[in-house]
Amino acid sequence: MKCPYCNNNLNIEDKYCPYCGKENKFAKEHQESMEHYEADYTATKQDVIAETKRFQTKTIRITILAVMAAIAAGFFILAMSADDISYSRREKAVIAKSAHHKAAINALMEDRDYLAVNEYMDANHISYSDGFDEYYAVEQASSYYSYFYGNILQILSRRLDDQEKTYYASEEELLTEIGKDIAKINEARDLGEWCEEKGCYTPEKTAYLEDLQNQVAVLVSAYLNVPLEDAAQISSMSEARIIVLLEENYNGEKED
Amino acid sequence: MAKKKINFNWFTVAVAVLAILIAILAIVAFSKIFSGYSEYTNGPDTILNAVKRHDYDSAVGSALHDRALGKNGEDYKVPYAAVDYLNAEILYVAYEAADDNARAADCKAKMDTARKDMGEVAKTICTDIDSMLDN
Repeated sequence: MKCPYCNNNLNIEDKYCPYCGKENKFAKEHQESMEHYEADYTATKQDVIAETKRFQTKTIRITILAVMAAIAAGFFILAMSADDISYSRREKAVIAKSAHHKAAINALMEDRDYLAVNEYMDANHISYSDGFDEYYAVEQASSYYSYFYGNILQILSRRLDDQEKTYYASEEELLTEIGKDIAKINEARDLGEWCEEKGCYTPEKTAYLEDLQNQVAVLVSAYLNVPLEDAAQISSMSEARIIVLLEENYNGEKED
Repeated sequence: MAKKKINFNWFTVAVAVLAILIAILAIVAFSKIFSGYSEYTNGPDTILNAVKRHDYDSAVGSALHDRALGKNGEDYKVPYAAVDYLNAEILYVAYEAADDNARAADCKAKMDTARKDMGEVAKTICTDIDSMLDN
């Protein structure tokens, strides 16, 4: 710029002209402007920093909550699938030990331990596992035998006349349940072609099933007062006929 | 200043709620996944007490379950023997009535073994079972 008094070159920051020594009024205005702009800049900068900080904090919090919500959703899906996962793991464990399980089941079948066969398959989660289809008829018959036997025990234990005991089923109801159990045992002898194809009725398994039915007949005769010759026919009777037979012949002691 | 305070509480509550939810869901999920492998057992006392109070159905069921899981310790000897005696005598009486002497004899042998294994509780338990079966 030029000095307004001597017209020599002058810098905007010079407070006085180096040539004529007069005061440079523009320098003061410039200084004031610079201070004003500096103050504005600083204020704006601080505002931007504060706003950025707020935005970052908000973003971080939202991110944290979003991540936690995603984790919660993941665990929710896992909880919903947990039963399937558990079943799958159990299946794999059963299949891994299938040879051991089959040997154990065969041994129990040979001993004619009908109750133990059912319990073994149940306790070891074998009943509906792949690879054990050949035991389906055996499992069905043994399972209903265990219900049958349990109902016989309930009838027998009433003979001890335990006054304080509460019975949840009447004798008539027990006889009906026994009749149904026997019918289911009989059904297990003929579960269809698919079962036959799977090997459900090998000679060993057929002999097991026949012996089981014979034991049922013997127990029915001994404890439900059915004549042995009638009980021997029970394996070929319908469910309704069996229940009628049991009701006609049973004369158990009544509860007080 | 007051506005900032409200935001802080909101965030803390949301984190706390989500943390609790995650913990609950994780516990539910993993307990379900591994629950199939928890092998509950009834125990020898449960079995023997059921026999003593004449709850034979329960006693037989409990013994079968524990046996199926391979529980065969010394403490199970008497309870299992009591249940074996019960089952053997039920079949013995039935097969004898049906004149199946071979099977009856087999059951009798099992009764004798079970009675020995029961030791000092044999008298009470066997008396009750014998009287129940009129044997």
